[in-house]
Amino acid sequence: MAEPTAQPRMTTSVLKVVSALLVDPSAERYGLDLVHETGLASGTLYPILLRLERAGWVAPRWEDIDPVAEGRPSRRYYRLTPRGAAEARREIATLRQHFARATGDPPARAAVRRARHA
Amino acid sequence: MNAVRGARPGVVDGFADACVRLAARRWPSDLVDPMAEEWRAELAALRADTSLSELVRLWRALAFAIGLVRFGSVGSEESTWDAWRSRLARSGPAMAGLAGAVGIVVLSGALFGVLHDAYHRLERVAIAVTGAALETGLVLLAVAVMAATGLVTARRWSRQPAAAYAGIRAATALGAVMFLFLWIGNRVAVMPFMGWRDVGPAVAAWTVSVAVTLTAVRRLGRAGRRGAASVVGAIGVIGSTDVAAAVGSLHAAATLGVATVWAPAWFPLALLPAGIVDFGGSVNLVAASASHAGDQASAVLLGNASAMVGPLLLCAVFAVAHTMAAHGVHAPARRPSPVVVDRRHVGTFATWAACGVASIAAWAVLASSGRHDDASSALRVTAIAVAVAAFVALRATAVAAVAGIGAFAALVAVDRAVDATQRQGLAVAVALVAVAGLVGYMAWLAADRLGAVGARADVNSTDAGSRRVGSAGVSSQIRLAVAIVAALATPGVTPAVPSGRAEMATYVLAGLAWLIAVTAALASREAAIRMVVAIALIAVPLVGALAALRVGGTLLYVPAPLAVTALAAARWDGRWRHAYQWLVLGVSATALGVPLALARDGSGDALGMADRIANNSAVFGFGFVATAAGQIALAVALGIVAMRLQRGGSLRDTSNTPRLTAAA
Repeated sequence: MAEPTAQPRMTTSVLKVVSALLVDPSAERYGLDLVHETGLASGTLYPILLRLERAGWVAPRWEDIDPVAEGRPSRRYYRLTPRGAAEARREIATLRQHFARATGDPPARAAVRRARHA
Repeated sequence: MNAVRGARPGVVDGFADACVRLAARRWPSDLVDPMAEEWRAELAALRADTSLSELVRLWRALAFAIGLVRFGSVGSEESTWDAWRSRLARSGPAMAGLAGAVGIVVLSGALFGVLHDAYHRLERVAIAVTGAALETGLVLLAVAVMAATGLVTARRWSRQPAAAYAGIRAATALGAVMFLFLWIGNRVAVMPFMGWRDVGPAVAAWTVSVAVTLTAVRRLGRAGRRGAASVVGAIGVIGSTDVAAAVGSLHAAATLGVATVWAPAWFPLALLPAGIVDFGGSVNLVAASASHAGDQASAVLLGNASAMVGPLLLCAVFAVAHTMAAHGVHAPARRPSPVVVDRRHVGTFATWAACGVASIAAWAVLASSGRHDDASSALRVTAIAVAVAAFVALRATAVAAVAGIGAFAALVAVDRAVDATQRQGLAVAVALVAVAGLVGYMAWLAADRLGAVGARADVNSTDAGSRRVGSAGVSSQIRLAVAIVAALATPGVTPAVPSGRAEMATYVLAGLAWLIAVTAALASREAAIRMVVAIALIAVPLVGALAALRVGGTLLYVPAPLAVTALAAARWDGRWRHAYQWLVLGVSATALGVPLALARDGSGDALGMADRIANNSAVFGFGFVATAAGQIALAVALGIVAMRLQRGGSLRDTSNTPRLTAAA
């Protein structure tokens, strides 16, 4: 695999994807599943997955099946790497901190502190 | 049936696979095959999911596949639609303005076609629905649709500078739309030579020449050569239209046996009524449609050219004007005089609410009257056009809504009064006075809205940018837009054949006014429209109207010039600050409508809206601006420009109370 690139720019769409993956970081998700969960168009989702993969946040894996026996091609699964999960949590916490400043929401600030000490 | 059901998945799968291949080609070369393989696997899994119904599976597969095509780039999560939207925003006011112009033209054409069909269908089906009520409903529908279009377009308006190659892209996009509008949209050809062999070359030649013009204007504007940019723009608009008319008529000329040596003159000749110049002999039955058999070949060719180049001219003027505005061709105007706030007069809401209530009451009383008068309905459309412009400029507040409804109801009531009393002379006079008041008052509101912005910005701000936006932007660009609208509206004369010198003079004067206005619009700079041009803009149609009156009042169709004249003067540097001035202006301008109110063609039939709705050929050519949809579209376009010029470039509520009054 190529060397991880810089951290991906956190946009709303990227946040949706990493949030969906963070629900169960150990679970493997395929593209169509993420399309349904995030509500993003497939043409929007896959470039994001590629950028996350290049940043080392996501590890893809081809499904290990016999296409002839199954009658369909192998699917590709995506799962957060440990580094990706940690980075994603940190980014979300930072964003929540920004929101907390804007809204004055104490629980959000507490969540930020917890994330920092985690 | 089973065969059909069995065929559907195959078609869907084929379409989905085509989408996959198309989308995969846009990825980096090393990822094309893996991505296509992954997507095919997802589609296969989706199609094999027996927990879903066949219909849901088809729908999801299609959504997934089409979503892939909306791919933006690996470096961005923007979809194609988002990317195009961003590009449009980045390309600035030129592109946004073009999008607005194209949208208005196309939507108006489509709207007019729908009205045309609906009018006849409803007329046959609903016998209880009278012509007046039917027309009223349809015009209201058109007003609503166009007003909504204007508001939506205005909200998306961009103020950023135009990108490189915007001119070429804009011209290409415009050309494609124009082709669709002229050819595909022309379901039932209104002229014998409106096929692809005619429209295609015309639009292609027009696209190239407009692209060249826009590029040249952009470069000259950036180089600070404003005068040269204005001249090139003016020449480019006329030249592009002329080339389009000539190239688009070559097929017709070959079929009709007309020599092409005078092809460059076909466009100016097409502006004049048929019969002035005859060439090419009579049309034979084989060469043209049966309806034109026996006509002069020149009349068929020039009429065809006129129908074809109208929308092209409209969009060429808009394109060049917006490119000029986007590249600073218009220099800042002189500093306007301070405006003093005064709230001592009657509030807008109360005025219009009273007007609406009284009008609706009058309408109810007169509802049982009989025949509808077409001529007065055109006056009504005039007022509606002005009201819509103010509606957009003032934002969709309750005040503006009441103003529009009140104006409409008042004019319908006057219509009914005309029918009920059968005293045409008095009733028409009453109608004119009522319309004059409405037009004048709306012009006053518009003047307040537009003028006060500039004046306030100038007085209150020491920032040069604010001063420029406030004064130069409003004063030069509004007048520019007004001049364009006036110019395009003026050739909307009736198709009556001139029978005497006075009538001929009317046509010539109308054409002259058009040429003056277009030239003034494109060449306008510091003063935007010089006084002599302004006088010509108002005086020439007036002389034409009077000339028409002398020979029986059969020609001039002036509602659109009325509206734009009122609005043009309304923004005349904020010099007129008293309400009575605007009322006088409205009365004066609406006096031009006398020939229209009395207008009859050679057979004595009224030249009004119903006839035009029934005649879809008015959608095309210069007749476009003589239709309700066309006039409303132009008014909305004017409103859009007004919106864009508001300080900050965003929609915002305005005071319900007009502020213009005497300067300190």
